[in-house]
Amino acid sequence: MPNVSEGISSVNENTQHSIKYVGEASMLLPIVIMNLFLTIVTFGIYRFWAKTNIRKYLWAQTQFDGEPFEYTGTGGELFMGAIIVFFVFILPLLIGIGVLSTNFPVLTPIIMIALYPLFVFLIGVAIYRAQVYRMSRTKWRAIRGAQLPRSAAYGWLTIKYAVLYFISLGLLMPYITCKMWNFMMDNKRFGSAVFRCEVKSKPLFKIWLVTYVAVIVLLGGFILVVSDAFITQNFPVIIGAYIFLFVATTVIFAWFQSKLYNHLISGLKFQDVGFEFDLEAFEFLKLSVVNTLLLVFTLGLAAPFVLQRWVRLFCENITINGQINFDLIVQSPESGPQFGEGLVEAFDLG
Amino acid sequence: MKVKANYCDGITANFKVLEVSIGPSGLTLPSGEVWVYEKLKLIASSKLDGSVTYNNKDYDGPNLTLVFDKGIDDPARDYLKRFSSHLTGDSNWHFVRWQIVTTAVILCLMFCFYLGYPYLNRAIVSVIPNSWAIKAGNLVVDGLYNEYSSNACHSADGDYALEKLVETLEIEGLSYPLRVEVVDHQQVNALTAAGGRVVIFNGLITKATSADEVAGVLAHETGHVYYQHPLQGLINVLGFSIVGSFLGGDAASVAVVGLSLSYSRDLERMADEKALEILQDKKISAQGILDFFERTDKKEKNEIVAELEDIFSTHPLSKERINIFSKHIAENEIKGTSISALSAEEWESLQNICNESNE
Ligand SMILES: [Zn+2]
Repeated sequence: MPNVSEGISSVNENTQHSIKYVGEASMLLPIVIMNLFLTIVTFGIYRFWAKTNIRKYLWAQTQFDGEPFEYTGTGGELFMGAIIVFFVFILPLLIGIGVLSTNFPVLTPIIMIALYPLFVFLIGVAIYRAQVYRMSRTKWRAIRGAQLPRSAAYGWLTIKYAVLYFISLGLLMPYITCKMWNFMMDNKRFGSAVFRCEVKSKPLFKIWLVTYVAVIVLLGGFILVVSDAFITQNFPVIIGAYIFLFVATTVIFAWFQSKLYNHLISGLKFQDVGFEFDLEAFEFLKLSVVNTLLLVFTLGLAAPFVLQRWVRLFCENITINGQINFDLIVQSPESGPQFGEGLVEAFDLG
Repeated sequence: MKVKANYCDGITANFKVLEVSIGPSGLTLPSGEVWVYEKLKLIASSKLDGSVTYNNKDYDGPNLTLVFDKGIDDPARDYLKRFSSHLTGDSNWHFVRWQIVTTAVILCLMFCFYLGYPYLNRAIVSVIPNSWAIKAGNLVVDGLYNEYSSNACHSADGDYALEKLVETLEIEGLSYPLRVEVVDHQQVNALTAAGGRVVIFNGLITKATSADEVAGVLAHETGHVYYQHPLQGLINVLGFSIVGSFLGGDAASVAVVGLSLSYSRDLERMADEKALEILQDKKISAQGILDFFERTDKKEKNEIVAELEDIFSTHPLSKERINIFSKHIAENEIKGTSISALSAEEWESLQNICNESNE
């Protein structure tokens, strides 16, 4: 350890904390091109390293109080994570299903039905475990983040709320989203400091109901118009109706989603510090549309740029209220999992 | 040259403002501690304010952010860049070189896998119980019968002739007894499923000009059974392609198809060699199978399409193959010494095996 006792210790000045994204497309482009080339050359296996390169860049270009984040994960860890999940998990599962269904053909339908909750559970576990890995590989001012290892609990929550979602025909969506979000955020750490999140779903219900009803009305109207137009073979009307439906639902969901994100992020607490996310629906809509077009016209190759645009949007719209006492935050005791994210790979959620 | 820096000790999240001096071999901290350039790992470099953040490979913990008052054009930054352009993130060559090395390692590992794969495959085959292989074969054949909505043909004389043919070709060292059936389908083909199940399409028998042709084809299929090729094929499809697509996505799946095609050609060669060995041992002329191949050679293009559908149901035909058989006949067979696989009467019964069962 170097001795820096002669340094001037910084005082917690009362300035507002800020988060800023300083990356640019021109800096990302060479990385994307190299990634693409090497991924093709290796028949796709390089993608674990490609993903890591993009993350290292995005993290490094995001500054909190002028200091960059550091992504310390490696492509090798992601690769090993995928291999391990395959051999201890996917392969035994496939063999198990195969053996069971050939030996007891009667059981096959039961197995298939049992697979649904299992997959829902595993998707929850996968999403959570990916966060465990990513948080442990995120550093700022040399302090590690952490996501407490509670992936099984998150998996159960996922099953529970998936059932609730279907039973309520989606009406309880705000409640479910808030509960899942709170669980995820409550278990995040930065060093010894704790994130707290107690988002209430009540304020969201009104806008969700508006969205819900609007979509039903739109769909109903659409069906009426289109079924009429089908009889009269009025194709301009049919095409027009489709376009109208698409545009209208996009606008409505953009409105709802911007409200949702504002609410979720604004409910987050870190030490005594609160966050405020103030994203305008129109801005969100604009970015979503452009990003979707970017992905469509580049056949997905623009994904890293799209990701960068989302990160920038996030950083531009978040405000941090209050003062963090950095002296109280010490290094996180956990160093995180050895390998990462294999399960997310398995479900293609990465 | 001096520059302001934020020093984070990796113990708390606070930082200390230091003045660091940029020297020819490293950064000197106020404590006298030197962070030599070779040991610095660039964490981030901002094109916006010019700041650069390092950690030191010698310690797992602290990091140092150099803050340049005049941003990206600060003289101190230019001075630092003179020692190495990697230090300010203005050259990515270190990074690119490292990625190319990674890729080379990946390619080497893939090549090792390619070379070692046949051994791995055989190792897996050897641990799979025979009863599983038989079950898997039954699944495949039953599926085939379902698809063609037909069943195995039977007739008293035909069954007898078929059994005689199988017995004639019987060899030692098979993991399971041969189970040969004829299916009522016009395709000129034969396939071997796992567990020793062989299906001859009736088209092959009706188009054949002699029992030796069928015997030759059957000897070839016996070769596949001997080496347990169908099981290897199943493992290819179930295991290898899943691993491939899991690790590499779509691009890898394409590579895997290519790989299994070249691999299946090797298997055909092995089965051919075994067939010649069997035929010679049983004193049946290889002229029959040669005739069969020469006749079907004209349809090679269709065969390749079929091969993509099921790499182990069809047999890639080539001039090379015909040459091998002709050469074998010329070198090893003496005219008049070979015996016929079936009598004329038995052969007729076999040719009618499906007709009689339909009555
Ligand atoms: Zn063959």
